[in-house]
Amino acid sequence: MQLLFNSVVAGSIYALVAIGFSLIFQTNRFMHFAHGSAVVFSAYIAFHFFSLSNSLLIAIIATLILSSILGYLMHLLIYYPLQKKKSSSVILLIASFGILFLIDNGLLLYFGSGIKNINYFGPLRGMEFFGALITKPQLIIVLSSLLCLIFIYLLMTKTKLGRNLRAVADNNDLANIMGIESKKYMALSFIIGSVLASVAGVLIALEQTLSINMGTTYMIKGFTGAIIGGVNSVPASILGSYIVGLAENFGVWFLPSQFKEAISFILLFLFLLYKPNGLFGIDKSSRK
Amino acid sequence: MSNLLNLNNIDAGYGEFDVLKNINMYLDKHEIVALIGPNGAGKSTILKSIFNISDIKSGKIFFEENDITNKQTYELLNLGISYVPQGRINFATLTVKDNLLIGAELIKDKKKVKDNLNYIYSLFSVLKTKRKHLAYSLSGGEQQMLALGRALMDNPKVLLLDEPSLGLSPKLVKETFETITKLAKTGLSILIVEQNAKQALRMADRTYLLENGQIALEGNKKLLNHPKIKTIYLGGQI
Repeated sequence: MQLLFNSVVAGSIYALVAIGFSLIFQTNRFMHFAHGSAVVFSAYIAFHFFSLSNSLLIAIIATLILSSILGYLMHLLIYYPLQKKKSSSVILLIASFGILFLIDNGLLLYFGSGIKNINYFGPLRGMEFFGALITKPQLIIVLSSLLCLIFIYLLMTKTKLGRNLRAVADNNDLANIMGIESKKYMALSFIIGSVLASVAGVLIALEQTLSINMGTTYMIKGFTGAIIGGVNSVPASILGSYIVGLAENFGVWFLPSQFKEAISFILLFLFLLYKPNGLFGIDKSSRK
Repeated sequence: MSNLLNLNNIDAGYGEFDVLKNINMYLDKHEIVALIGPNGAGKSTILKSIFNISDIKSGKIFFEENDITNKQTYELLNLGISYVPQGRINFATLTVKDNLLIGAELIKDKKKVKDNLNYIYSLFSVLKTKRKHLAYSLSGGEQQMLALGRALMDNPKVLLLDEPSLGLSPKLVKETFETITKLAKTGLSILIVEQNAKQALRMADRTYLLENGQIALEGNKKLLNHPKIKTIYLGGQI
């Protein structure tokens, strides 16, 4: 039970990272690996503003605003000019690594490499819940991710905006022909993705101690989740992320705990080799 | 210059690559105009140049006497020009109904959207039965109906069709042409690119024959009897 709950906590964060990543991937057709840095950036910003103001609310608002701006700027200053020159997705991928290093090292320069955490809840005492120990921040992680996921699901399926986003993701040339300005929606997906990254960042800052390189780790986990579920579908990416959480936490039953990080890599390789469309992904080529 | 759509001295292509040379053509209200010609003659490029998908090097395009040469692709549907690209292209991972609703994206009035949806369903009843299916699961003919239906959802004045009969069975080709004729009778002006020269000539009010990026012939239904058309398209080679 404890393992199951830990899996859900981990999966919730991965899912937030994964849907942002998969949304950006679908509309922009390249791997935005700097998404992990957006998560760490958010976590550090949350920490920074919490230290300054001692108010969680201010920290959250500042993070949401600054991260959305960061996401939009990445699109506006780097990716969009490249896309306009019709650069290949490989060039964009390399650019995303550039951004990743830039942000990570920028954070390192400003914050230093010392350990940071937000000590908002004081010493934690777990609550008993069906035989599992749950801390307050963990509960917040699960509930707030769930809220975000439901919100995104409704946004994508029930609104005109979501339908247009899905249309741009499906075929942006056709979307343009149908009067949908796809570049606007490509920028919008960066903003939505970054908002989700900032939620993930704040949640991570609440529960864990921060380090610069955790962004890449979360990126890999989210990416694996997206691949396992199917990177072309947002709900599938969510499910995939929970599977990563489960596999990691249950894997350490059987394997030494140092292998925890390796598990998601192994899953990633297996899926890329044998089921690149993911468990629930749609293979459009099946019928022509 | 009181035509609905005018192409004046258009040179166009893709980047460095030139395709069209000095194209002059027009489309009047309530007219079906066909573009025929061999593969690679530049038929599709004409439609793409209207929609600013290929690169226009010189010349101007006018719609209702307004210069639309530099309009962005996404601005054209709102002006009343709708385009069905080649190859039955739909939003494959969206449902049939969502595909159609995207066609009505620019209409604000909800009742109008509903009326248009019902009109398309009455035109292609199979789309109604399959409205909850994902577009990629439809058969080829159904996908073509969906592409056509989506392009009509916005009440366009002009419909640009790029080879709607491509890859369809003879029965479906016949049905597609019947539908197009029916649509023209509702007052829609249609510019259609077609491989099937015989069918196109019979259906269209006027036809342009394109060769090597230039207009080689232009005429009405009598073009069917033109010796060049007879030898190239209707007699020996095809």
